[in-house]
Amino acid sequence: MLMAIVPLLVAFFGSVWAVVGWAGGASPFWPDPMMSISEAAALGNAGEVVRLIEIERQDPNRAWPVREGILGAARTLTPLEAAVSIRRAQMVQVLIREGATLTDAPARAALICRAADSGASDVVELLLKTADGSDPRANCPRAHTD
Amino acid sequence: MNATLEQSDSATTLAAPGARWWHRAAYGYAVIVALGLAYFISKSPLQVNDCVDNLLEVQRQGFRGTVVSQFLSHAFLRPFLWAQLAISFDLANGRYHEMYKAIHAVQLVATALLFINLLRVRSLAGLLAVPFGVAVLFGAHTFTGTIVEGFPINTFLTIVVCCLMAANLSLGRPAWWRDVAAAVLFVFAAFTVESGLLVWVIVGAAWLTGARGVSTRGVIATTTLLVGYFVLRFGPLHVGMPALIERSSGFGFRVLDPPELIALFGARPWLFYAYNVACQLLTVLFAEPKGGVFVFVRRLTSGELLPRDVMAVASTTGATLLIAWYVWTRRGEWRRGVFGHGERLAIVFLAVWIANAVLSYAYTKDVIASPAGVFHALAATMAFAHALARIERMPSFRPSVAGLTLVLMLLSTGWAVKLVGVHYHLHDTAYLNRNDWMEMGPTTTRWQVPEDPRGAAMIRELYEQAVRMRVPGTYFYPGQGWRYFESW
Repeated sequence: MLMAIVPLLVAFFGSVWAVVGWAGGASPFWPDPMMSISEAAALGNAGEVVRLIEIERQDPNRAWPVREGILGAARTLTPLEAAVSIRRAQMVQVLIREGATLTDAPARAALICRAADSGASDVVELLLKTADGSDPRANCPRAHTD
Repeated sequence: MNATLEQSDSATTLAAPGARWWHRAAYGYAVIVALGLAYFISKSPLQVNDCVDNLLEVQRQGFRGTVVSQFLSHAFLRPFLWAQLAISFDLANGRYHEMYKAIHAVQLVATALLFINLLRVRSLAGLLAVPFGVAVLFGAHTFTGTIVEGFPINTFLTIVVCCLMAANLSLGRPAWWRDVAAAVLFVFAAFTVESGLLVWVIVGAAWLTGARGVSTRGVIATTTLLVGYFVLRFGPLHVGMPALIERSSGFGFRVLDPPELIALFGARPWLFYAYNVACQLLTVLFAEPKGGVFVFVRRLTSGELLPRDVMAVASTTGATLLIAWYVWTRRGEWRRGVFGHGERLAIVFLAVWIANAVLSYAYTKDVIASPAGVFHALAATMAFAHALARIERMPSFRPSVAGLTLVLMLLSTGWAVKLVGVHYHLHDTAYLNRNDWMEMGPTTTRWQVPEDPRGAAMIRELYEQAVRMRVPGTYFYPGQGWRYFESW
């Protein structure tokens, strides 16, 4: 008879583990994200982006490491670059609201060109409103007018 | 079977050696699973939609204003839903997350306890059916909405608790206070949300099977209140019924918006209502369609079928077949009109299944069928216990024993995966709820409350609570989880 419910008992031990851990102040099955702002941005995790900026006081304007597997090979990039990589306009908006800036004109132009190249018109629109509001798309490696 | 899950009229027979132990172990098991879910729920922020608007409403109007305005509304009559919200809002005193997650946890534990109480576990075989029953209860797609939705108070879960209370009252030992409790429960449930009318269905169906926990007088009183409800709704209050334009709803292979619904069914709304009722009937038994959309069929024909789709349909259909087999094996009792506890639960399930579908005529949503899903789980657990009792009686090493065990094990596996999937889904929901807050920011413009400092402070507090929470999402979980765990 016991054989018939073995899979359910395995799931039950998971519940026991969760409840005991909860009672003991631990967080079983709820891994600590432990990620950089750029990783959070690359994963679309706006909650973690805001927490890292507002509570951990991490700088949204510097480049942070992104481990292998999130955006392909491991690399170091700014949160805005990560957000543009995944073409997520809402993430770009959150980052700008939380203090990410694009004051460096060449970096801004490169980012806008990349967004335009990927066809993320909503991201381009947001980025165009930053800094002096200039449109660098005519000077992108290829013509981008969308 | 009598020794497995209690079948007799007597609701109190715990005299068998160890019966009390099995009974307590069953409660313990269900409470631990419920608390396991509550742990995940506690880590998810309250959602933005259908949360902030409602809380602002009760904050602005206060208890009296909120409740009175509900009696004057059109299409929906839910004053007690708002009363619960207003009372809990005042009690929360700024600690919204703690208050509403605690209510959610209490409701889940209450569901587990009331569910187990209806099973009347009296033996080891009965106890072994409990893990299956609890998995079907919490893992059913009709129940998932009551767990993963981050409303301040999940009203669908409130109604599930009310329905289980009604069944416990009706199927228990006769007592005058049960009549009073059933009447009070009906009023509370009916004025909380429309599906609360199921309380009357349960009381009535149980009475028809011969259960006298709620006496004939109690049933008459509850029926009188039901009539009073309709008189009030369509008479002096002029609440009426929801129209086609109220919400989007699934039809065929996709969800249609209100304008599309009007274009298709404006002249023949009854056709759309009939479709909704049929869908709600089917989804409880087969997990297809979902929300009025034939997801499984669509994915099957487009070659996009995922293991989770197969598992969902196979597990639910398997549980339904098990119930059908159980009913078939008890056909002698049915013919003689002898209703034990199992038969009564099966009949109550049948009544709730049909009535729940009829009440969902206006639009389809899986969670609306959660009461029917719960009674489906109860009937399936009785059937599972019946099968285990058969195995217990059979000599070992017979092919039929191995075959039946294998079938039950496969069914258990499917439901175990579905139950784990609910936890997985809670990870996703927590991530999405938190992201919604972050993407919106602590702004008050969405709700036009910039000149309302109390409203602005509440939104700021809810936002900051969401910021402070650590939500990993499912990225760091083993890959491909989404293929196996249902998303709703």
